[in-house]
Amino acid sequence: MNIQNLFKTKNFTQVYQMNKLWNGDVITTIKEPKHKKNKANINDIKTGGIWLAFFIIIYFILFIKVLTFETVFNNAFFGFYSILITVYILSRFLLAYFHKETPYDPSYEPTVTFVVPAKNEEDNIAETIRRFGNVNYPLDKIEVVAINDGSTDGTYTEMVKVANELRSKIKTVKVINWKVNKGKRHGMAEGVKQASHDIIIFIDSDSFIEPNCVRHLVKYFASDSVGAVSGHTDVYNRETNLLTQMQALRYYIAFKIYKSAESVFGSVTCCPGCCSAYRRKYLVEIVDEWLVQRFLGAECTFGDDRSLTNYIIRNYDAVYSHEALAYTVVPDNFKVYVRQQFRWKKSWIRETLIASVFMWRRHPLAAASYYLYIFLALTSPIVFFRAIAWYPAVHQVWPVIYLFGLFLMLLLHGLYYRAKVGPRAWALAVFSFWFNSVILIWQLPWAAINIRDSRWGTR
Amino acid sequence: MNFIQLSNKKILFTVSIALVMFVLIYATFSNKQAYYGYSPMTDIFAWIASNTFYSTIYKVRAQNISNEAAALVFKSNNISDSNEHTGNAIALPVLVYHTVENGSESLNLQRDAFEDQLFALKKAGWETITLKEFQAFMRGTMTLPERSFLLTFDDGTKNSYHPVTPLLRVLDYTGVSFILPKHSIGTESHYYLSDHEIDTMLESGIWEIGSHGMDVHEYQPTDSKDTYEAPLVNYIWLENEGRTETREEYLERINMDLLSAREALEDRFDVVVSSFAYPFGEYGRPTDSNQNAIPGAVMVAERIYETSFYQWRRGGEFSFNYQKDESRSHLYKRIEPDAQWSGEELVQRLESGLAKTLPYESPRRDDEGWLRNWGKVSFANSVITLKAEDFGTGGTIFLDGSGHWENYTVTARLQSPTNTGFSLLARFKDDNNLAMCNFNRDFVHIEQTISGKQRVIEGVRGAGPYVPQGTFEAQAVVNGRTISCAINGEVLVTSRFLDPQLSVGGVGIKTWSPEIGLASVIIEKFTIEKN
Repeated sequence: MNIQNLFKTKNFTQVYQMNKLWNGDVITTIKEPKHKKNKANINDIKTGGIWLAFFIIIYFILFIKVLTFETVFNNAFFGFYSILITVYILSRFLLAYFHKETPYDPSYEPTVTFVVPAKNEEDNIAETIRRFGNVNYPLDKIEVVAINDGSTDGTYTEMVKVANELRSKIKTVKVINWKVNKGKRHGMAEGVKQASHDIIIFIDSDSFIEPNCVRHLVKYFASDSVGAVSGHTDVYNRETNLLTQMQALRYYIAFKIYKSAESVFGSVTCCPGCCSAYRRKYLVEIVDEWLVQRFLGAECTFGDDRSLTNYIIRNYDAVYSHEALAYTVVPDNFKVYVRQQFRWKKSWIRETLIASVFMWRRHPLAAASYYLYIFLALTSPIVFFRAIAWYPAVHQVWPVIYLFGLFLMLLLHGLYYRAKVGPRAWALAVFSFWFNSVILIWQLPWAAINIRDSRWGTR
Repeated sequence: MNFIQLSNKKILFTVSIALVMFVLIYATFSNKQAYYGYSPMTDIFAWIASNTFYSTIYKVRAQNISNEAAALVFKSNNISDSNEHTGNAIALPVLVYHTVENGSESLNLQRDAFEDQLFALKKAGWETITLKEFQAFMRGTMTLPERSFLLTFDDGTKNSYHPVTPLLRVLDYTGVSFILPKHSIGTESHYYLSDHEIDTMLESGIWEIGSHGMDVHEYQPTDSKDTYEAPLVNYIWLENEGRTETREEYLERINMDLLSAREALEDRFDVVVSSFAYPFGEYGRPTDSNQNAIPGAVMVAERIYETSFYQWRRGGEFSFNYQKDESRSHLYKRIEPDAQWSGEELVQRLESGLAKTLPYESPRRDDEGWLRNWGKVSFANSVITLKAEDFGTGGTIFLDGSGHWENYTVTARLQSPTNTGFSLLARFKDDNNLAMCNFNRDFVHIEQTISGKQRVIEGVRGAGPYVPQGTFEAQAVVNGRTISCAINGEVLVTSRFLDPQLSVGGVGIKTWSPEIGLASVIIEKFTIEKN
């Protein structure tokens, strides 16, 4: 199934590289045969056309900015918002382009612990854990810690079953069984305490790693400054419906563009729980403080991944490895999706406020981007309200330009996705992304109001 | 910064993309500035869309017209149908438009109406001339085909240019735009053309520009009671000094205004600006103009511009500008086609204003060009009836297209049902400059009016009655400075002292009686023959 998927999604070189790695060869760089470069096949031409369209969209966006420059001064606040958001988004693409390809160093092979906290995941947990035994990494350097956080289904049974399978390959496989649910944060902290290896890789119970994932996560820790590495997570159930297709686009862009851009300065603000690696030495320093984190008097019960990254980037770097591949299952139901997004926005607000205290100490460009993003995120609902409701109602001016601009920006993301991934309902995904942006933009102020309410904090 | 990859390849690629973007955007932007100035984006897209659409439609229509014209030439060659008007132009009409709107529900001229008018002109064989050709023609140094006209637009608005150009291009027409330098140079407007757009306009070869004045296009107070009038033809109120300006101050002000407008346009666009259009058609509208001020304005305008344009006084003068009109060598009238006129109506009006050749016989049809000065006029059963209004004392009509006639005999077969007086007008230039034979019950006068001052130069009294009963013939004969008046072939009075200013001019007829609503005359036949 993995290989089939790869054929569907990755180009030939990557598949070739994967197969080689699968067979146990250590290959750092693969050079394409020379004759292939001169032969432009039909797909190259197509992709070239998409890139051309990509740059034409940028041209249109910039041209509209130049044309409407004079109107900036009609209303300084909204005028500068429109300029800043353009600068922000285009600068993400530019920075992402300069994201470093870190070479793999065969002499650096630290020991690794996988930590999987799980609650009521009997369907996926076995596959999640089973894949740890198939990684392209010396298995004697692998350790697994699985925590059953008070599941009411067969999760624990599945865990024990797959742990027994794995014990033939991996020396240490720990399964911890909690009768009472304590929360994901406690599970992760327990994993850190139980782990004995150099690097801890957190994997969500509904995420699946690719064999070469470990190598590409671990290679960054060769530098002492690095405390955390985010892997690249794609959507596993992409083909289910339009909602999951849209999320696939969002995930891809969020990792490939926005995390890449943050990674340039070593300041990735969220190494997601689905697949991220941490240096244990640095985690141990902060894990106790993190476990009892409170915000505005309330216990923090969600956004554990963002929160943990925040503790790390105070003192160390957090980067993104676009080669460390994993897949995760996303909500295929709109209600569940909206709940998830709401939870994420609440944790975003909390952790963003916390991080804003120290982000200014990082690289000036990273800090500027960070504070700019906060400004844009908080003002976008106001801009949205002005364009969609206020102007049509009071001045009878329809928000054609606003919606068109929004659409152009999302089309830019969509074209990037289309060029990199392929023609899978990308246009529909762009449209639904647009639609959802228009709806979900209202979650942020609502989330800010309900920031202390932890009712929705349960997964 | 350990995680950034600044390879030469990536830097080179980024810089190349940035450069290409910069060049492309710079090129598009400067092109946009040149073509549309600071017009709002929505307008620009609307113009591009509608002009692309209309250009195609225009091309098809223009092709149809040229096919029809070819067929017509073929037909007329075969039948050798002698067209009345085939020679060189003697007088030229000037048309003036303001804005051409695109489908809005306003009283302004709409695009389709404008299009209809211009296509009708083209179809009827009317061709535009350039301002230079117009001036050369008026100087007498150039001949032009009879159906030539000058097409002008006032105020230099974006709507007088963008929707118009595609039509002119297809019809192979040219236009003159009278620009307001105050709004078009160095300022950013969404309504008036920008200087960039005017550059492009001039480069197109379709357009010429003229001046519309600097500050005189805005009404200003003329007294302390907030009465606002056109400042070019009125003495304005000096608020600080609590008085109206003196004649000297007025002349100084308008001199500065017209001169600075010309200089501003010439400096910016590097073209000779030799023409001026009076704002608001002021000169032609005596009601709200200061009659003492007007001659000053004319004098100043004449000193600064070779050619000035004012609004045609419908009913007061011929609609065309005559070549041999020395009395007003620099001042020309313009016809503003009504937004409601169909193309055919406009063509018919221009056709009836064409210079008529002698001998001429009337009435022919009701649209042959009789212009009403006052009174009531009706055309029925090949008879023209001219009457006083119900509460008026008389009426006057004159024949458009007769302004170039020199030595001729006017013979009118008339009835005077109320037995009131009537006059045959000859050497009519306009309602302020004309000669006439005034026939009354008990006297016949030769009268001439120069600059509005009427004077009897010869007369006979007593041997009447001079207005016979029933149908009779009245005659006026002009020959050089001699004019004589006759009834039924009998010369009653002659003068050899017609004013030299009235060396040429057309014909007309007037009826008058001191009693309210009584005056009337029925014209059965009106013949003019060369002497």
